[in-house]
Amino acid sequence: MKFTFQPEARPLEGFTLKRAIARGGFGEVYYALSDAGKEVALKLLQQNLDVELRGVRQCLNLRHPHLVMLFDIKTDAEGDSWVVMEYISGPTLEQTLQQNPQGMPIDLVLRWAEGIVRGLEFLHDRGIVHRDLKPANLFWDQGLVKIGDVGLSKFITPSRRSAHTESVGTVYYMAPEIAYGKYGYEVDLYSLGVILFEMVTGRVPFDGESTAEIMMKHLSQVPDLTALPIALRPLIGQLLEKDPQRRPQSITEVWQEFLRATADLEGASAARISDSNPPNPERLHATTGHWPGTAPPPLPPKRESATPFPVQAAAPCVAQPQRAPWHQVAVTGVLFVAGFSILGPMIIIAPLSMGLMLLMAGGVFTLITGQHLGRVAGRYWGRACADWSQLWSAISGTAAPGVPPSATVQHDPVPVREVPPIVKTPIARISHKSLHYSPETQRYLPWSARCEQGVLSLFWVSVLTAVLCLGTSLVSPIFGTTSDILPDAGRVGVFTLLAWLGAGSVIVISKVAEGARSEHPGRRLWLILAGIVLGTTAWGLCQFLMVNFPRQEAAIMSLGRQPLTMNGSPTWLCFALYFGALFGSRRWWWLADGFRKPLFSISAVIWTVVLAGLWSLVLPFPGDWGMTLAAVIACVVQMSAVWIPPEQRQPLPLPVVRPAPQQAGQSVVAAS
Amino acid sequence: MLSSLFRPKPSNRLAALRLWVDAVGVFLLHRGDQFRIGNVQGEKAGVDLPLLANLAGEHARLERTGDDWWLEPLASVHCNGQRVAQRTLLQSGQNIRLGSTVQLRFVRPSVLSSTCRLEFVSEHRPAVALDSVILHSEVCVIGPQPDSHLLSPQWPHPVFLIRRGEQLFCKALGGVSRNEAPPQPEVAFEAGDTLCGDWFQFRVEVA
Repeated sequence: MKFTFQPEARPLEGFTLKRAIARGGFGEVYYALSDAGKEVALKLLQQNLDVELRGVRQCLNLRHPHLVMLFDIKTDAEGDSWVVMEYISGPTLEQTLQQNPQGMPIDLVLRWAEGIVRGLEFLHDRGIVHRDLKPANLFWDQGLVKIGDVGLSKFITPSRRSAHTESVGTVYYMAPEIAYGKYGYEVDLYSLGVILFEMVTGRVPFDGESTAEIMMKHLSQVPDLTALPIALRPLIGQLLEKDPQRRPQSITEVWQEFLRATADLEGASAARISDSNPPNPERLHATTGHWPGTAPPPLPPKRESATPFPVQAAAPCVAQPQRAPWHQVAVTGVLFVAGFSILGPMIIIAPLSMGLMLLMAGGVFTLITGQHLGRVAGRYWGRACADWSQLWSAISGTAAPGVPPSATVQHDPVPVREVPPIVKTPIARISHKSLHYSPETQRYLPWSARCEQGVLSLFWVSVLTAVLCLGTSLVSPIFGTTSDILPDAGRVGVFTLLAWLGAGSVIVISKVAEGARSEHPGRRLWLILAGIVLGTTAWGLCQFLMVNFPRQEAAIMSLGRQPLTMNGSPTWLCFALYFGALFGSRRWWWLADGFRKPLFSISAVIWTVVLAGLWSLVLPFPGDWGMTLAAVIACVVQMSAVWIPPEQRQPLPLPVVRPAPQQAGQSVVAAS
Repeated sequence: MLSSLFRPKPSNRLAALRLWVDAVGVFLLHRGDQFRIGNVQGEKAGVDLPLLANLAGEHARLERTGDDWWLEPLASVHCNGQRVAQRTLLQSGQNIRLGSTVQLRFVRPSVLSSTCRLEFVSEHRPAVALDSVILHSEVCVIGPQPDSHLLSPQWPHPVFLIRRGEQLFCKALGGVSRNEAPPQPEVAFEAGDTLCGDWFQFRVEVA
């Protein structure tokens, strides 16, 4: 690890640098002696100058026993800014954690936690959010815990809670809402939750191979709290809530709750004796075993901390996803039975029945595990995609979406669990015009979210297609009759399958490209291809099942009848052209996008029907069939696609890769 | 008592050095056979480790005999909680309490080397920061391995400080550059030098 300045350098008048201490997210820190011999830590600000300087100036005169004191800000001859601050020789919490890989003893956790809480209480009381709380920023100084890097703090005012443009901090301790550019005091509570979790268990709740993977877990994964003592699970579960509003309201409340929870743990109160000696991890760890309340010893670090099937009986207080209400399961069951009894005899309806069976399976899965099958599938698929995206970025040398540039080149040769803080993660300014977000809003949507929404929508496609097609077949004359009452089963089957495939294709394509620029050429091309495939399937089914469409005589423009019709029935080419044209000539993704204006738009259905009718004037495809199918697909897509109410729309900005600024004559080495 | 008369007089002619190691810490590299601990007033009398603490001017003395280090109390000294009244052989991991509050730990990180480390357990330090003391025998290893004399978890490879007579040499994978000269596989160094390699840098001063 190389640093900018050599030992004995004097970039600032009156101070001699003796050695480099570390490199943080915002710059290098040196140990220096003043000419009189006073030892100080000097922090060179290399990046994020505006952010850092503003924060440090705000905190320059804050004095508290649990905060690292800031002395001054100075500028050297090169114009670089330096923060002069108190030097602390004691160990950081990070070092203490490394000495306790299986978790710290209770008394040690209490002493650290109390110091952190007192310091945070003071900061929050002054309206300041730390935003970068992590073990490397917490110091033990002669019996007192001190919070460092307070310069990163930011005043909370209601109007500026989300108006910041830079993301700072270390991903292990980063609250999920930071990805949206929100920095309320709740981010400190989340970080505190992660730190408490790590102090007790020896590992962080969300670990992963890459920065993107960890961030994704913060955003979507439910923490596995089973390694914690039962008494601590509710509090830490609450601190680790994804929704900031569901976290505790104040740090004081957290501390009271923490004391209450730990009071039950044997030996905890006896250990809370004020001691001026530094914590001696070996001594303390030898005197206490593992935490009471944890049945097994803390789990060893592992890649996947969350189990897909959390055992609810053993962890009654674990924060868990909402269990599906009984009535949902009941409805699912009724649908399943109804679907089978009505549609089962029709052999052609097998795919639809399979869809219903899948839905039923999802209901049972939800009932047993308390997790939504679509969500679980989406999470796993999303993780696989994130891994592939990382791999691709490593091969191609480009940053993957959502991955900060600094995270793509990590060649840490030593097995130290340290992910460098995100430097210059580009979080664009978020406007407050949330009501004006539309499908045209370019945004970053994680793969896990796409998959989750996609799978969820596809389940509803199955249900709604069945219901709508059944209804349509009973009232529409286009299906003909095989008897006096029932419509032609073959026609109904083909129609249902086409509606199912069509709506499914629109959902999948829209979801894959959601957030891309509006006229994304790939998206329209895929829609055309899906239309051609759909047309081919329809034609093949008609041939195989000997289902005859009524003759189409109304085509105004005779585009060479011979290749398009044969014996009065449309040919494969006609099918492919019609569906390709229908899918390619409409912005179908506007019906499936999460940011579409209303959840259901009748005008969109009407326009789709008109379009289908127009194409049936051009091509000799039965217009009544085309228009009915288009109407059903438009309805099903809108009703099944995930829709986010306008007031809840919080688009993630697209990542922008910017080269890191380099100072002339300065050796820039990737942080290890 | 009689044996002490025949004991060779410990030599302390070699100056102690202070190593300022980037991203690792600051260390005292003591090369003599005798290491004296006292308070800051004892600095004038040549105490090797003058602590800002309620101690006697010269409170205790460590002496090397062969590969072993012995503790000689000159005032109130406890070793692993037991009061020490006479010269005692030090074992790795032993806790030394000087007076009522100062606590040090004697560690011999590797059985293959007689170089030892004196760690600070209590908060007492000299006037200028110091992270630990190395009682240098023939080789001092600064590296990521747990049995290194000085632990540098973020370094990929160790750096060796080798003592040959009164001369010190530094050796590291990829070579060592002394005062920005071209790197050599092994370089001799002395107080006032800055040594660096591909992944490390430190400055040597007279303590």
